[in-house]
Amino acid sequence: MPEPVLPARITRDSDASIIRCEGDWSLEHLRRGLARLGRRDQRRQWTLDVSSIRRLDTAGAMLLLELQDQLPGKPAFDGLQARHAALLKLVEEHREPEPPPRPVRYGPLASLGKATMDVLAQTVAFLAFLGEFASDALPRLLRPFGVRWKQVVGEVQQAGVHALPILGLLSFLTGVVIAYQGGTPLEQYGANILIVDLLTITMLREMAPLMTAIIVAGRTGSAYAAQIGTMRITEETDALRTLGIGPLEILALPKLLALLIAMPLLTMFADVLGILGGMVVAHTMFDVSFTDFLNRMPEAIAPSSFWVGIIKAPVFAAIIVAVSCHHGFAVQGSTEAVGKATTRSVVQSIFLVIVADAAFSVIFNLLGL
Amino acid sequence: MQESVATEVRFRLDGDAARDSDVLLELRRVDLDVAGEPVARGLGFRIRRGNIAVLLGPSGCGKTTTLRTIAGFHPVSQGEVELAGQVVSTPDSMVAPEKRRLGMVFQDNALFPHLTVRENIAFGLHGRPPNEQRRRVTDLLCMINLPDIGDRFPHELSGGQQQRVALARAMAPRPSLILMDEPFSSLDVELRERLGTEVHDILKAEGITAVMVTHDQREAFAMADHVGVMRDGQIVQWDTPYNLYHEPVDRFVAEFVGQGRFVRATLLDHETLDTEVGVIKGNRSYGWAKGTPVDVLLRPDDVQPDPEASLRATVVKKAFTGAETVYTLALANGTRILSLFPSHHNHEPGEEVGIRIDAQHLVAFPHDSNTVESG
Repeated sequence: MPEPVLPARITRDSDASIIRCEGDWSLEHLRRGLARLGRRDQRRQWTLDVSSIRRLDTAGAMLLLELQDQLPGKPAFDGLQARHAALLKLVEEHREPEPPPRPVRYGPLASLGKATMDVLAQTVAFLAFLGEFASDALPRLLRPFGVRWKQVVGEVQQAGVHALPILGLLSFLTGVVIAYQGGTPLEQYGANILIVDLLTITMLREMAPLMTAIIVAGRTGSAYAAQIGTMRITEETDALRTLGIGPLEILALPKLLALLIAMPLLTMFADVLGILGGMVVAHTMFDVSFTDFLNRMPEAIAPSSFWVGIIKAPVFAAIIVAVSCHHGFAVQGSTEAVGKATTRSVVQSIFLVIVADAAFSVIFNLLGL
Repeated sequence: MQESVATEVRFRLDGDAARDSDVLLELRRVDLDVAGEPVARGLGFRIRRGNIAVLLGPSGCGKTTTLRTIAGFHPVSQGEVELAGQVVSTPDSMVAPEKRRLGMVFQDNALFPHLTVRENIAFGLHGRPPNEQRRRVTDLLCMINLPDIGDRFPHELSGGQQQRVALARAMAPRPSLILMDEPFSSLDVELRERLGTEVHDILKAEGITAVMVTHDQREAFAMADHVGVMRDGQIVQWDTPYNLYHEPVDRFVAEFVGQGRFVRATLLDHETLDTEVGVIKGNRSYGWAKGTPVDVLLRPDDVQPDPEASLRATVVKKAFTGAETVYTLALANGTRILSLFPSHHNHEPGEEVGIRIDAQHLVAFPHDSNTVESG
């Protein structure tokens, strides 16, 4: 016949100031919070009666000791059975000397301060990386034969050629949307032909470079951060260094050169596809024929609009490479950090790209372009 | 106490007859910190050209940080590191790892996964003529005994093969020094020892100087000319494997290196010990006064089977290793000792066997009630 289960229990006899522990103090009969005492209880003097504990294992012994620790003056175990005493002593000798300190909780103000300091530290780290990268890359660029052009070509293929379909589709759709949304109010004034101005100026100056940067940041920047981060974890970057090769030289520089080449070209491609999308909408919805559209284009835009868009591309390229490589190289420890670095690199590069774009608008405005 | 041992080791090394040109690597009173926490204090050792040194110690003793410092990944807080006659690390300056001309083998091999074995090995040969690269790679593949795997990718190889390729890659640019960070720890025990011996032979044949880090004493002994036993960021003993086993400087080294158990004894005179397993007259003299309680280290090979012997012990556990069996024996008073029996002496737990102590060279330390097992 199985013994009846007698779960571990604590009863408090407040009048006699006795805490009684009873039942099976073994792993399966303990429950969470059993030995946790209220604040008020912790202030009183108690007698700790353990005479009615039936069974005791190491888990139970740990809990008993914890209970004892909470009581003021650490009362001795009253009525401790001889068969339990040895185990209790063993557990007491071998348990961790002190429980790990609870993580400090910060108030809202302290959290804000901490977050601010973290952001500042990150900024400083990013600037330090930029400086290191620049001082490593510039001398190499002066000796172009030493640059790993084979890698550069490979990266152009990856970041540029392979991005064409998705970028083409998205630019085409962007063109469609702009033409459609802009065309409706223009139609009310009978100024359908002005769709050409609207579309070309928006696409060339803003949308094409921005779309390209966002796609490249999401597609390629994240891949860069993940690749370099993984190499950090597997110690491949360290292996490179012991083989006499600087990781910046082989990992970051070819990526920078590749995007400097690929992104202006991608931007032009996005220009063409975006305008094409707009043209289709103008033709089908707003009675602007392809011929009218193409004839109007040179009148609608100054060539500067085109260059204004293209000139942004290398800047965006540099931002994306710098941010994603920085986050990749900052990876430490576990594979989890790789995922974080990837996310961060995408968010921060898009953020910085848009900030840079705003700065460009201001500058071009001042220059009257 | 710790401090003085480390210093003593250093001075003994300084007094070594090594000519300066023979010394490839030297650490002088190096302190290391990681994130503000001290990791190593007062490290000092020298390694001569062509020697293989192993840093041996439990995890967390600072051995990997020491290795990464030699490689140039980690700065020194105090002291300096000299490599091939050039000071490469001081608290203020540091030569970058890529400028140190050394090779490193990593714990998880760190091969480049998208490159074939040949391309991996040739990686450090970038810029040399293609002919020379091809020849060097072929030579190295033969050296590591894997001549036919050049076109495979790292993931198509077994763990042992990957680690050998990693060694070949590190050796390719003919570095002056090879560093190995627990290179065999992801391999199974048998392969570990075999590969250790193999790597030892390759390094010796090429005359390469190497520093390896491990927590596995067998691996260390299979590789090393000299072993530095580290604990809590200090080198406790720097010696040949033979001396470490037979002349450990303290209890920690004695227990960490090789198997063995301590038995209690009393000093009868400077050479004779009255131990729990009988009176033993050794061939060394102890400096303590007569009657001092000491603990004597009994290695498994010190205890041998002898059916006629009056000293009896009960078998508690047996571990069959093939040619020999390691028995855990309990003496009449409960003290446990280990014993190495030839495998044809087969006994079951609970059986009583006769044993004889066959040891003249006994290592003893002052008695310490915490470490003698009596259960």
